[in-house]
Amino acid sequence: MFYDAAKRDHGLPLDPLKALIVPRPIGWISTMDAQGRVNLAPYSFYNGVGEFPPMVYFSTTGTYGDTPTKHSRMNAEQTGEFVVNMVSAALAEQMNVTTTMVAFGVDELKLAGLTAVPCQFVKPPRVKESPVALECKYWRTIEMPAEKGHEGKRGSVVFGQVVGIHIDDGIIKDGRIDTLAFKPVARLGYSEYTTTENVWRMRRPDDPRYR
Amino acid sequence: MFYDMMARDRDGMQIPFTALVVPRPIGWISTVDGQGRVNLAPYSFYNAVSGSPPMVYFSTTGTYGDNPTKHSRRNAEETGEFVVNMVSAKLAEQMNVTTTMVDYGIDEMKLAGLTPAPSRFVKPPRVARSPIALECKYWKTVEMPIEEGRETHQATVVFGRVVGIHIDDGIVKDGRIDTLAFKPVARLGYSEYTTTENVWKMRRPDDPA
Repeated sequence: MFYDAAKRDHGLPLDPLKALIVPRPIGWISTMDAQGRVNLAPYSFYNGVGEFPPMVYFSTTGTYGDTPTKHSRMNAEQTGEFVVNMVSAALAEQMNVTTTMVAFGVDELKLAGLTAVPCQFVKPPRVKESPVALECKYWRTIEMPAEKGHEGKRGSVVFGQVVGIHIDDGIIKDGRIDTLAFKPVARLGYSEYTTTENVWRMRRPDDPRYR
Repeated sequence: MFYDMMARDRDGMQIPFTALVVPRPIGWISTVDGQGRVNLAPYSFYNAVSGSPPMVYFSTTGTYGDNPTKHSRRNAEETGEFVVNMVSAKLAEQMNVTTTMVDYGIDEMKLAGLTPAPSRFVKPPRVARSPIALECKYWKTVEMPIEEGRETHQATVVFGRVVGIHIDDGIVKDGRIDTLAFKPVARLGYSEYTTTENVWKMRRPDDPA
């Protein structure tokens, strides 16, 4: 089948869009507001964008209940800092608790029964139970175009530079990150998730040095 | 352990950043150059950035052989169009063939033995065997910051708006996309890949449904 993305004439009961860009990694973003109150929320419009320097983005959509933008974005922009925590399979339920819509200033990290531990270079705490945490300095926000009739759902891309990295020693095996030691959770369409449970290697045909 | 990213060279950091942002979806990007020659290459710095309108990005890093920019970026910027093809488990080997470094103008789709199929709204063809193809109009490029000493590795984020969507009817089940019907390939660190082979549902605690 083919459909026009602007007309959304797919004829399906649910919009399939998010099921077509999969699996999406999850950035579980911890931030602090100007008063030092913690926020924690997962974003699947998240990924790396550069390696030198290491840069990531997360994208937020529209408003959020009581504030003009989503809390993570607002805090990142106001304080210039955020932390990306890895959602391992063991943390899936806790991550889901942090999707609950709560008032600005409510600490989802606490709400989910997680442990906050201080970071080295930034103020927001990281999730102690997460096997990987990326301390980030906010770089800039790029507003996506608005769609007529859907202005409130406009996306905003928040970029940050990774300045410090925490890695649980337990996921390092022979000097390499062992993905199966933590099984990252990723997002599919609808209310679906997946976990990374298989790994295989494939070298570039022309690059014998590539590991 | 903790790594100071500004001192990673001094500290002999052996862990690649890409092993820490996983699993990354793969955007298998087809473009054409000004002469209509096809290019096909996979990018794992790829994802959605907006739902309304549907927007995606892919990020390229540094130079490519003799070219100042990677071919996909150059073509997308010059022609204003690109197509994102889905890499299903069955297409993993062919995707890998398209990572081969070849001269500008060489058609990796042909090189991998894949059949092009015409797109509706844009000129670049899609990969006929891909279960999903997103026809995109180039929107803009944003240059990432430069790291001192690594100027040639500067990353560039290319944004596009999805205008047309092809879905293989065989992956639609009860009106929903059945991920396990095509098992998308995703990128990990090193030369590692994974395939989506399990799916579970989890509703938001405040979702009445």
